[in-house]
Amino acid sequence: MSLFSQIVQFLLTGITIGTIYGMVALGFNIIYNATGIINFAQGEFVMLGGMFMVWFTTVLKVPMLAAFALSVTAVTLIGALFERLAIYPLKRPSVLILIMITLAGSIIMKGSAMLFWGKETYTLPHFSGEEPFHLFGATILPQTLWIIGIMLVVVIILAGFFNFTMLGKAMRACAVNPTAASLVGISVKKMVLLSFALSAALGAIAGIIITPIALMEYDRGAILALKGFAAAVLGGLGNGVGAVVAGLLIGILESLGAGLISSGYKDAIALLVLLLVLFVKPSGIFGVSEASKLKEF
Amino acid sequence: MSDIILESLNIHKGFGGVVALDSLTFLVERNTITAIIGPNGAGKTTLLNVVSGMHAPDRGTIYLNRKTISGLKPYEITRCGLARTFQNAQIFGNMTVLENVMVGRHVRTRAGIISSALRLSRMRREEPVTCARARFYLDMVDLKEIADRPAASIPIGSQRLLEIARALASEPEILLLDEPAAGLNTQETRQLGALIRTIKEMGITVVIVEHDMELVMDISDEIIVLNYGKRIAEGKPVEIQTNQEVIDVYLGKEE
Amino acid sequence: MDSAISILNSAFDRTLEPSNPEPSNPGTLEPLNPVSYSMKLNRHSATLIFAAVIFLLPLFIKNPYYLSILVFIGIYSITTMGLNLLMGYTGQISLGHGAFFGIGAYTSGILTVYYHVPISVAFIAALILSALVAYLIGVPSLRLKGHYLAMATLAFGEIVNIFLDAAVDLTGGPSGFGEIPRIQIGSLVLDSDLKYFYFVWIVFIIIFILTNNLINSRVGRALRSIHGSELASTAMGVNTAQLKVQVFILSALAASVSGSLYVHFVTFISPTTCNIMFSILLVMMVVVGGMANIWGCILGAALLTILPEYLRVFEDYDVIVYGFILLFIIMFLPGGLSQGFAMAYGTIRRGRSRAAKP
Repeated sequence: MSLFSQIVQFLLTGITIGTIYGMVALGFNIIYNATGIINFAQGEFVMLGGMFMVWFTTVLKVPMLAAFALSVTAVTLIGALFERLAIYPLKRPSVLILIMITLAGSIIMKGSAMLFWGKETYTLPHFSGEEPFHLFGATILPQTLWIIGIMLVVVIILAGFFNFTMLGKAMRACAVNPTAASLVGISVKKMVLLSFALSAALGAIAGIIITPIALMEYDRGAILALKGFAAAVLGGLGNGVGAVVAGLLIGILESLGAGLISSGYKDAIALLVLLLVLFVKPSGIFGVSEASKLKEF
Repeated sequence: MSDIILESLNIHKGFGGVVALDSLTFLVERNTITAIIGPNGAGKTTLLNVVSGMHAPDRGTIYLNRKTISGLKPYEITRCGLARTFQNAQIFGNMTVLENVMVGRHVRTRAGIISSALRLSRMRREEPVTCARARFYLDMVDLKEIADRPAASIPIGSQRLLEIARALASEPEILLLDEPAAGLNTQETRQLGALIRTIKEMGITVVIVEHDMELVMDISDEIIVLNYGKRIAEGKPVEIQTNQEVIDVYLGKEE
Repeated sequence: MDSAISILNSAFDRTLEPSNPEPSNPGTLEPLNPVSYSMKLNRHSATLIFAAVIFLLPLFIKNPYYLSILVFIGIYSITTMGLNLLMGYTGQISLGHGAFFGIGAYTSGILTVYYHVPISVAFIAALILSALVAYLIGVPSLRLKGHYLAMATLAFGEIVNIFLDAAVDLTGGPSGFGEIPRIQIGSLVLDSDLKYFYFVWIVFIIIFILTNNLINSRVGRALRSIHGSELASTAMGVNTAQLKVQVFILSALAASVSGSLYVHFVTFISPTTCNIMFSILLVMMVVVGGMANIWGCILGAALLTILPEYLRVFEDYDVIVYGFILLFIIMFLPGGLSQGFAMAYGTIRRGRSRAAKP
């Protein structure tokens, strides 16, 4: 393969995985915008999505589409449950407590996954076969197109939701000014719940579509959360477009680094990006310099 | 004899398009009580923040005892002899009242990590002095009785006094008070006035940002009036009270 | 019995009340009487009691398995003490301290095994390396607050772990390496659980005394003031940026000590010993033990070292149990176990004094 084809290959791989990072970042942003919380359990939603899908299709023999819907629903319910049990009862929690709570949640989710599904690595069948296309000498798997396609659909639906529906606008109002929002009759508590449910659904979708390519095991959540957070911060915390773009950027950087330099340190690339952003410009590429302003909820 | 302790020269500070301080020049004489007044948004608290080093001025210089302090970090400025209190009492709620004041003395003591961990002689010498001095200042603001209460549990008026005691413990030459009378009743305000006079008698210059005009007119030697970040008047209380521009600025406001 | 309780009583007193009488001239500033050392006695007597208990413990516990658990508790308690200084007292957070444990462990291990460096020299090299890394990471990280700091430390910890996994030539990769030598003091080789028990706990008590001294000093107050209000702290003359980094380095040194102690006991090291889960476990130990006082770190280390032993039968449940413990403590007992004990102790005292009244 010529160098050019190799680079195209790396770009494609990077875009594929970068889509996932972007979706995890979107999940972070939704919860952050509504509540000011950084949800350390975000990566577990992705893991659970993949795991549930595997379980539904291989163990319960549910057809793909139904399994997809069921898996997303299951993880959404888990996200909502987590919010109700662990977040909702808190009264004016400190940052440390919030970190500990979402951390505890992620540990419980990871532990449950380990309990139910063990430590093995699982895979899913590709959605429409594994016959690759060819582009500039590089190969694209159909799954990649599924991933990009579904991501676009998700982003469009989210944009429509937040900009054109009453509920979505209510959530944005909460993000900007919870006090004013509650004064006009928006239930802030409900918006918090909705944000967790939405993020969970988003994470689940990401997990399902990536598992055929990247596989899934019970402890994948942490590193996904870190990389997704890197994308969220790089794109400017709270900025949806930034999250997606940054996710793709990080995915491409990682893929190029792994291919051209060394693959043993692949995961460290995204983490180094995260540290760089946090140290140099925590507001990210598209963010306003308001750094670690924490919103109340 | 007039001896300038604090001087600001053409201080300019803006926040994202809003000009908070506009080429502000003023001076404060040693051992006086100088009040800074002005309508809301005039830039009074920003001025305190810039002088105490919380923000660096965009332009201009500030001198303390003829030494440049603009651009220094807050802790360095405190070491030079300037202390301040905060508008919303920033006490250390996780410590006792006494410990709060003892932290005030941090700047006059030197025991470091090694000295403290090994309980070397410097640390052992400094600790009882710090404790005794802290008690002295607590006594001065009449909080002696609650020395061992958690600072977060005392009423807001006491928290204000605690901040003053804590600032005094750093043995400053000049003390900046940010709206110390906010939320106090008449009697408490009178006691505050007496306290400020006592502080002046100790040789400390006091700069006070305040809205309570009765207090300001009662205790101030000098008043500086700000509006939109500019100094619009300066003088003795009697002069300020009869200054037409000041009256216009406050027209319509209830004080 | 009553006198023992009153000793314990005063040992846990946290006030700084020196018991000298009021100065007769309130206006003068010279210190009249030296501070009565009642507070120090309280602290010292508690430490002495504790040291005595530790040293007498092997008389009652002879089983080497239990002794080894106590060794691990001691090792982890050193780390949690440092981490508590950073989190509980200074109000910062680090989700990556496993990395410093790993740096200490691997440096001691690699230098002694592959370069035949004397153990003490390797130990000091580990300390220096940990301090250096802590400084390099700490300076930029500690400018961050809250979630950003947490994520930065989490990322740092994971980067170190990736390095330990990937730098196979240096670290042995995922499978690690072994045959790390035992510590030898003169002619005494620390090759038994009993000997190492005493060694570790002596180290612990030394560090404990130093840390306790630090907490009850000008530096300790400055740290706590950072936690209370970083804004006011800097206004009071505390160089908060520098102090935060210094505490971070101290806590990294503690973790490095633990790491070195660990490898010369277990004689084997691999990256999984100091991964993300371990870093989170360390934080859990601090939080679960209780961050308000220095005894919490032992409680936390004890609970989370003993727990996996009990869960051996239900090995798959250990992660879930950790999660629920953390959740439970955060939601219902945020002061940790030490707060729980203090509350229970207070209830007992009140009950007794009520019973004593006619």
